[in-house]
Order: sequence, then C-alpha cells, then structure tokens
Amino acid sequence: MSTAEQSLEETLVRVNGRAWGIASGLLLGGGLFAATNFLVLKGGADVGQHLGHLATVFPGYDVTFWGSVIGFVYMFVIGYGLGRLLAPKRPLEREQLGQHRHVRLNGGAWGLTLGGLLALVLLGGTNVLVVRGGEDVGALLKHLAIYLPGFEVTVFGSLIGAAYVFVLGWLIGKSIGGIYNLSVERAEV
Amino acid sequence: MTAQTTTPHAAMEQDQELNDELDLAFTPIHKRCLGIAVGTVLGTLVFTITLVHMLRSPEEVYPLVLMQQFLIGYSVSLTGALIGLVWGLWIGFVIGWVFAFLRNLTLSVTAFVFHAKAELAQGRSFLDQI
Repeated sequence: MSTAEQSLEETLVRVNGRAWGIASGLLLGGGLFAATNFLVLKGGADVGQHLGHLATVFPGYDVTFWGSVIGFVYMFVIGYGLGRLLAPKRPLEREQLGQHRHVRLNGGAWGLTLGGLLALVLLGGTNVLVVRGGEDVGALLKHLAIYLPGFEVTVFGSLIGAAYVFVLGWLIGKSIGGIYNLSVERAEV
Repeated sequence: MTAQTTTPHAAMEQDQELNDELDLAFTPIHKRCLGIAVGTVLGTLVFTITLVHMLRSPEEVYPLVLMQQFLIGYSVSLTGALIGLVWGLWIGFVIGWVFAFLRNLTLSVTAFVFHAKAELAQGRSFLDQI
C-alpha cells in the first residue's frame, strides 16, 4: 500500500471515529439535558434529590436549567470518548460489505469495549469511595448488591462487581450487534 | 531514466478505486435496525432487573422505584416490569435511531465539506492560471 493510500485510510478511519464520537456525545449529553429539564418542569418539593447526586462526579452540575447545560458538556465529553472507543478501528473492506448498503456491527468488539468500560467505571468508582472513606461509605452504590450478589463497597467487592458488569456489558454489546446485523440482513432482502 | 506518465485510462481507474473507498467509508448505519436492536436489549434489561429486584429485595423498592420519575406507570411489580419492558423498547428504539441518524448526518456533512474543499482547491488552481 502506498503512503498516499495509507494516509487516506487513516483519515477515513479518523473521520468515522469522529462521527461516532459526536453522535454518542450528543446522545448522552442530550439525554442528561432532557432528563434534568424533565424533572425541573415537573417540579415538586425536592426537585431531583437523587439526580442531583451527580454533582459528586460532575462539579457544577445541579437539577436546574443551567445545571443541565453543564451536565450536557460533561456527558458530551464522556460520550465522545465512548464513541471513539466503539467506532471501527479499521476501514471497511469491500469483501466485508459485499453487496450490502448498510454497515454491519462487530458485536464481539462492542461487547468487549462496553464490558471493559463498565468494569473499569465500577472498579474505579467503588475504590474512590473506599479511599475517601466516611461514615456511610457508598450509601447509594451498595444497592447494586441486589443485582450483583457478592458486590460491596470494598476493594474485594469491587473486583466481584467488575467481573459481573464485564459479563453484562459483553452480553449487551454482543446482543446489540447480533440483533442489528440480523435485522439489517432482513431489511435488505 | 523512465518518465512516470499516467494514461487517462489509469487515471479513471484510480478515480474509481478512490470513489469505491469513499463509498465504503461513508456507508450508513441502518437507523431502524439499530433502534430495534437497542430497544430490544434495553427493554429486556429493564424487565429482567425488575424481576431480579422483586426476587432479591421484595420489601425494599428503592432504588429501582426512582425510574417512576421518568417511566409513567412503572413500579417494582410484575405489571410494572411489563410496562418497563414497553418503555425500554420505546426509549431504546429512540436512542438507537437517533444515534444512527447523528452518526450518518455527521459523516454526510463531513463528506460534503471534503467535496466543497476539493472543488474550491480545483477552482483556485484554475483561477491561478488565467
């Protein structure tokens, strides 16, 4: 492959990655923006007393209109990174696509990426709380034990939780890829 | 010393290869299918989580009950799980569809910008020569 062809391929992969990043950034940012403003519009005695806990990880965020704008920025950045990770790392080959008119997803790669990310987030989040300490360590996070037996807000518990969410993320990614490919196959007939 | 010349035929072949490569790079994601995939997974997830919660912590509905804030009619019960399944299917469909739409849109805009820049560059070299 010539240098020009290699450079073109790299550019196309980068452009594709950027598109995935922008799409998931807008989606996650828009999601938090919409959820926050939904609660603001609903009103009530203690608006967003739970969603407001996000301020622990997103300084400046709160359940108000301007808080939702700040939340949008945080989630856009996170979503952009996630999209770049999930985007295909190699250009499509004609043989891969065949006569199809739509992209196929690599469920295995999605599964590994999602599983790995979820595991890292839970491992990191739990251990930050363990190191910070306090009276009631991980008061909210410890509820995860209902769904992940054996999980607790300790170093060992975080490893068990990470193993669970890795499998869960892998299943989610693999299922999305599988169902998508199957329905595209049918839609293109 | 051999002079490197490009025949019109070779140039056309190169153009065709480039166009093929660009077509591949800008192949769209099927919006409806991604919506169906994400919706199915999210719906199943909400349904399963609700059932697991009912089995493992029947007295304490917290924190799953917080979903009531966003999903009208949802509760930690069998009926609630079914309502959650429908909400999950719908919200997941919207997420998948919107994601595919945004990704395809971003790529289309990028392709348009590339095209416009290339045409501008061609026009500039033409203007330089007159």
